[in-house]
Amino acid sequence: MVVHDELLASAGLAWDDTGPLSADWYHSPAAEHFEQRLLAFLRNDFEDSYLFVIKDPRICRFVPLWLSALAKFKAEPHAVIIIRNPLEVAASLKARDGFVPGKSYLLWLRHVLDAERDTRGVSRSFVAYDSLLSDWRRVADTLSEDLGMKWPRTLHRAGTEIDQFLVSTHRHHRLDEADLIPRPEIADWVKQAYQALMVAARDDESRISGTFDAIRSELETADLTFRPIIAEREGEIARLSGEVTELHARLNAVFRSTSWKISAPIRGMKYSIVWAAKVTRRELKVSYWAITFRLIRKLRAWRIARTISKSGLFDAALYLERNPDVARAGVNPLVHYIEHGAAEGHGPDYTEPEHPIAHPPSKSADKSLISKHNFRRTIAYYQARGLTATCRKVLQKLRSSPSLTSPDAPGHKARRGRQAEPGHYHLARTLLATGAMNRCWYGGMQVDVISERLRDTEAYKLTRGICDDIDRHDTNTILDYLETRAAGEQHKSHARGQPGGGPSPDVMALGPVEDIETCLGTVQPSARGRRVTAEPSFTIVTPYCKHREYFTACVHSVLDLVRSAGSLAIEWVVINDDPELTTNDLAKVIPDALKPYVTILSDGKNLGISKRLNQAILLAKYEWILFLDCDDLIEAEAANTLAAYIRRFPQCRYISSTMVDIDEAGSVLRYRRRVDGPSRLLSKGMIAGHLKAVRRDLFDEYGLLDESVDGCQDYEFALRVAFNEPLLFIPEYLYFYRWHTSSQSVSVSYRQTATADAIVKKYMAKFVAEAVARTAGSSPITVHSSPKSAASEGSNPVGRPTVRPPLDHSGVTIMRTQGKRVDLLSEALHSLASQGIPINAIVVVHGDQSALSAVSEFCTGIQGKIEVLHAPETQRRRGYPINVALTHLYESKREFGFLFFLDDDDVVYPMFATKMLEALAVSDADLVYAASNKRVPWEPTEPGRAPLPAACLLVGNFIPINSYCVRFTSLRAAKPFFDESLDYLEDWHFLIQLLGHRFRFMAIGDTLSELRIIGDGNTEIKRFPKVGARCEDKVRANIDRVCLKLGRFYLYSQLLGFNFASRDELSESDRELVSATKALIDEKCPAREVPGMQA
Amino acid sequence: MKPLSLGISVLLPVFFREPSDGSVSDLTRALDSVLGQDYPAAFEIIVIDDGSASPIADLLAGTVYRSSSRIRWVRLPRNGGLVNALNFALGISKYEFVARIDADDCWRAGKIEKQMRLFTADPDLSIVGTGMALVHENGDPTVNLIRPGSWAGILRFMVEVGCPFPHGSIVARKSVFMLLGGYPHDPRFSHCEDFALWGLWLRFFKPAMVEELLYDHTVSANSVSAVYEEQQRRASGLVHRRFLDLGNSTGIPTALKDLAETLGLSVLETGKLCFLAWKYGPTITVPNQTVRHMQVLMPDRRILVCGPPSSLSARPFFDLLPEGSPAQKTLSEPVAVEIFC
Repeated sequence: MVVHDELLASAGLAWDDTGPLSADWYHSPAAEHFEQRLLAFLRNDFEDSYLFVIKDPRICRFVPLWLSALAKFKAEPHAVIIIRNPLEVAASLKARDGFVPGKSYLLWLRHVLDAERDTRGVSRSFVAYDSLLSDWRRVADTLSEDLGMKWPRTLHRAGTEIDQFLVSTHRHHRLDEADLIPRPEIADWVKQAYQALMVAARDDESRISGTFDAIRSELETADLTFRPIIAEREGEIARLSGEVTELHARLNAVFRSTSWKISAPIRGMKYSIVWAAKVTRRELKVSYWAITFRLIRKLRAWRIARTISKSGLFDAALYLERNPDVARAGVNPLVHYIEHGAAEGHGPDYTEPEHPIAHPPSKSADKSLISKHNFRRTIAYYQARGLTATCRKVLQKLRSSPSLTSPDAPGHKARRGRQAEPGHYHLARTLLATGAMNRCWYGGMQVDVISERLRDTEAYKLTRGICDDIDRHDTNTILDYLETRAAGEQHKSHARGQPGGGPSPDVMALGPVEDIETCLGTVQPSARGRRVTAEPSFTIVTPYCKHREYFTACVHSVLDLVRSAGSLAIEWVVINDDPELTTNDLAKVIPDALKPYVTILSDGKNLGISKRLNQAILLAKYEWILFLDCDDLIEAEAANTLAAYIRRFPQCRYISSTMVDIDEAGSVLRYRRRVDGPSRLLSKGMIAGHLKAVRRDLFDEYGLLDESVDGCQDYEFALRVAFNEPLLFIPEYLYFYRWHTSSQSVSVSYRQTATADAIVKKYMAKFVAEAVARTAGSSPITVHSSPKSAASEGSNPVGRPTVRPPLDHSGVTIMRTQGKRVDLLSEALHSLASQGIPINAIVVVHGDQSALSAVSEFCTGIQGKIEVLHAPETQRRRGYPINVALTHLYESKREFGFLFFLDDDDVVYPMFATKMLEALAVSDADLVYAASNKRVPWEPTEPGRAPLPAACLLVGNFIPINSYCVRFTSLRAAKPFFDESLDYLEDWHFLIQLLGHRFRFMAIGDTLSELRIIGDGNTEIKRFPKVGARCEDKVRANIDRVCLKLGRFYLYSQLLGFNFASRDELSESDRELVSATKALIDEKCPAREVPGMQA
Repeated sequence: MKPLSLGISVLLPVFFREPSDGSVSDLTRALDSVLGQDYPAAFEIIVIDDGSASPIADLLAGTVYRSSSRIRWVRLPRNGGLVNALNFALGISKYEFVARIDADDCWRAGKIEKQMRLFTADPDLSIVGTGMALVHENGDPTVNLIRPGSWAGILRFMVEVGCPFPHGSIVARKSVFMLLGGYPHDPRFSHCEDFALWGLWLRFFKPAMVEELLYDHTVSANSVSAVYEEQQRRASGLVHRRFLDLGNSTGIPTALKDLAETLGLSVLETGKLCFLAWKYGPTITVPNQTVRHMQVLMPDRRILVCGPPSSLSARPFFDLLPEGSPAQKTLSEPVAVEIFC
């Protein structure tokens, strides 16, 4: 406020003066003038306001003037003194005005001393700035209480605006009391004043005046002593500042002169000459490289150098130490390493690491090791895990075997004609191409050494082409690449048949993922899984549909396999799902040499991949079935490699190899790394993919592929098996998976992801249901795949009849009223009139006899079945009147279909009872809850919180009391009551109680009721926060008991059993609530013993 | 079924903040246009006074409208809004067929008869609309709107344009209204509640349209569309987007018919069953060959076969119908399916 600055000036002060305002000034004509101005300001701006706020720190300096003006304005003043840490103030002033901290501390002290003294006798409140930012609602309550005033808007209504305004980011400096006290450079006055203010803010003002008077007295004494000295120094500073200003002016005059401007090019030349020399030198060098045909190599070396340099893995000092000739020649060690050293084997790349590396070489399986240039780290990682021998072996092969290192070797066409690459490329590529980078698992058992133990004749040797373009290695790059190629086309390319990214996080948040992983990792081989023939035999099954351009390559890969298979029996069943192609058309593509091994089936129909695969499985005559898509390729050595593993693991019935991604032309896009074993099958999606080899008796035992999940049928089948016996994941690359632009559309891909999510939910629910059944001790286990039945399994409340009686088509509602709001009660009762189902209203009057009489008389004028009960003990809490009605109902013989609660200020919408009854009839639920609206009187309705899984009640209550119905028979069997010791949250406590009784909750998406926000019963901020906190503690204690009683898996079943169709997609806050629920379940009911699961 | 022998309940919600001669005469015009319909079967007009400042019935005291046995006057104690009034009226309506009209609109002669003849000819129909003339109060030229009459045409209109039914033109089945929960109370659909309801309705039930102008809708500066234009636009966008997100809707008629044939039910009953399965996601037993039809009708659900019916606590599909299976039918090739969202 400008007037404040003028006011200070009139007293001979500036805003940053630390001296006191003279008491005589208040009696001067200037004071009178300014008082009139303040009064004019008040009349102009606040004439019609019954509550207004004036905020300016400078008010602290002349409170008496403001009080006088306010008295003449006939306004009652209240003072709110905001306490900010002097350190924060100093930091702020330093940033804004460049003040030294000492001055800022004194300035702060002067303001608070004046403010405290001059507001004595005024209604006032001390507020810590921290509290205001962290919990303004509590501060608003405190102010309301301290100052004896009521806010014009409810905190609920104003909350959003205040939240938006009062974001803590507004505070640029954050320091607390603990930062202030230890600082010796800060005067004790400041510390004492701050501490006294903070005590006052915590509700104890008794000592502040004494403390402040003492400080003020000392400060004034010091001021008298030091003021002359300070005045002298300030005079000196003013003189010097004047000189500096004058010098600046003279310098500027020189810069503006003509001679200075004319001479500018000469001054600039010294920089230009140096720059031009550098550019010329560089261009000459590039030209020389170009003339001598070395430019490409140099650029490539530069690119590699940059990557290696960024990786931090190249130790230049170590390199120079080991290669003193390089050091002597003064050559850049990294350049030397790239151009010569690596190829000559000089590099520091094969040494044992001093510190074994704890983390895997790459966090993502999609990221290439090579492109990161972290081969050394990779080798170290594997060495640290006992794979040293593998690395050495590969290295030896690399050096000795021409088939792997020679550019002219078969399969290396892409590299032919190029210069020999640095050694690390060879090594890393070889490690990838042989699968040595991958792990091998048999169920939960990691068997990295398996490939080494296999005899040489059994070991798989890759002879196919090796990756040409090392930069295209992650999925996104592949997708970008393909989408670029598909530009202009309607469809984008996505992975075919691969729920590649794993289930969505929303789904994973619903189940006990860790328990399931443990279960999958500990399954034992099936007793039925013994070998039945002496030598393995294989039927390859391929459903043909479109992609004729790739099918020829597929055919030739099978031909290569047949040729390599030796004595192994091989059959290929091709089943045509393309109505546009006949058997003859397909047969034309098959070479004569392959025809004896091929069976083609064609009926001119398109039935979908799952159905076709099932037909092929039924036709297969050999023991093992290998799945090959018509646009992909199978590795020639696949049968031999599989045979070797089958001999090693005679009980294994499901083998999954690793795969290579290729593009339309067959060029390798990447070698996929396998970092997860079968235990992660549920959490990571379909990682048991190509090449899939399944023993046929597995289909006999577990059934064929599920045709209802077309596109994800392999994932569903893999999960079905994995819960019952170990899958074998082998490291070798036996499958070439083709990415191309004519695969699936976005919508189909989305649908496929949703299908994979549904499969995961189904298996999580199945797992949880069995775990609940085992916990309940029921035996034998009956598998229930549905989340709905999962929730029901083992969840019968005590006394609930096994077979439900027919649902009575009538409802009863309990309405509590104190008889004070008859107009609202009238609306509530009228809202029952159009329900389409007879509703019996039990109105409980919680009040004295006169209230009872008034309500009874009122109810006689309302249509419908209304029964009035009396709850006369007015000192008892909110649960009491409801309990009066519940007791009445439990003791009576009357039957109802359902019961619901309705406070006298709420309403239910016309379809409430009809939809609730329908939901109870369609389901086995004991409690149905719906969405509801909320409304502040005279404001438009707003949507309430959308339904969430019932287990989320463990974290907070999201079900308003008038938005649910309870099946009456279930309620009468359990006979729960409201907790009468609670002032608040009794409705939440009641719901937790029902959860504890294993009531089955079911959500429906209809909006069926309206909650009126009157009073603090339905608001987060309570009028009596301490009481509210005490009630919450009590509810949470009960939640702990209920968690213990229900157990981990039952609670998870309540998460999984939620009908997500009843609401829109989860919001961010809802996701947080679900995550918090999962965390709470894990904390209160940690996993002890992980149960298995049967198919 | 003989629809002409069935009655119709006409819902007429009214709210007069300040009654005027004009508003009362509009109301009587609307009532006359309904009473003047040549329809031999029983019908009722439910005038719902949605908490007007003074009772509307009193404004017409002593007139024929108060003495007519065909008009039910219902007054709500508080102005709860159009959705509340309509759902209240649905709850107390007597007849299976429900029509709508606003107080300032007017039906043309023969409207009900033509709509009910369609219901007579096709018992699978659930809702029939008509063409509409937009009559501007400010004197602007009248705009005639006639939309496609076929099932496929109505679905195409829904996809390409938006709301296919003029609200005051429809005659629809009360049982479907009730099954779908009436007009939605969700505030996100305020002032667009009819379109929100049709967005769900057309996924499972067969519609038709009389391609004639049989209804005059008055456009005034105070109409809901004018006053709440922005909210209406936002809500319509939401409804439309949700429908489009379902993907190709052209398969709905065939899927419903094929499913009905497999189940041996009417298309109407099949729609009811599918809606209940869609809404509640129960584990049910269905004929194996119906799964693909259900997948077409419920693209936003995953229907997973979980084995033979005996292995699960699955209930027969027919049991979902509130009235139970019409003829205690048995299912061929039954499988248990789970419906996931």
